[in-house]
Amino acid sequence: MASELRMTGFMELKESLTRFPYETRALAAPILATYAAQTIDALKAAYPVVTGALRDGVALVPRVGRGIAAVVTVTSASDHAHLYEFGTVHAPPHPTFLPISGRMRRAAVYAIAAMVHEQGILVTGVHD
Amino acid sequence: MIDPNEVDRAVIGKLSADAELAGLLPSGVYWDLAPEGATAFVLVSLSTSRTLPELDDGDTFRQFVYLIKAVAKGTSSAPTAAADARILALLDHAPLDLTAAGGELMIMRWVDRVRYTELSTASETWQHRGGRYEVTVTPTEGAKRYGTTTRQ
Repeated sequence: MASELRMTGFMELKESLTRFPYETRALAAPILATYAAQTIDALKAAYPVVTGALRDGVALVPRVGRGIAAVVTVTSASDHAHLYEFGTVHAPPHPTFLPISGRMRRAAVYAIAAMVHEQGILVTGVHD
Repeated sequence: MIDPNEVDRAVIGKLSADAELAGLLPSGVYWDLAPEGATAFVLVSLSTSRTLPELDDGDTFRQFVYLIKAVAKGTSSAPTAAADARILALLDHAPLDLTAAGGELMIMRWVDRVRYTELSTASETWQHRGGRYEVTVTPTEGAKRYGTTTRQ
């Protein structure tokens, strides 16, 4: 007795997988923007204000990710930001930018992983 | 329970015990700031730390990221370059005795690079060169456990 198995939907699956990274990028961009804004607020709140240069040096750098990348860059661009962060011979380091940006980056990665998971994709091994 | 102060001491102790590094930066190894008059030294400070849950039964480990710099007075970067290389050789993927801290080393590794020149006065230049190093520690068997909440 002859038997036959027909499987359909491969073209739809292929199209869906092709669209997935672009749709995910579009969904990730506002998540990154939210965390970037929170990072800027946290940095400005954490920096001491003497001349205001440290606080005013915190900014969002306009960038566009290549291909399917979603990219947001926050910078601390005052002339002495590195001296505040890493110290001088007369002043100890004040770790500010790296802890705050690292914490926010981790939170953003986990938020994006949750978003991808909500789309029905199993997410494992998230690295921060 | 892991004693973070002992982890600090272990890192400083390892650097202080090295004769080659002492030859390169003879003023010594210090936490945060060197004493007045020191002109060639290593500075160790804490950059970030956090506690992380493990995947299985809620045991945790602690991750410390230290800023470790070779600092030397002068315009030449040669002394700090050599010391930076020695610090890397001493710490990157190297063992560290954390018995006094109540923990065991999971990994110690170089994270990223730091280098800059400081003009402390118009005529006084200092070279800073080093990096950030991650030290991840797990409690020794039978040690008190932390909770499962991630703490920054």
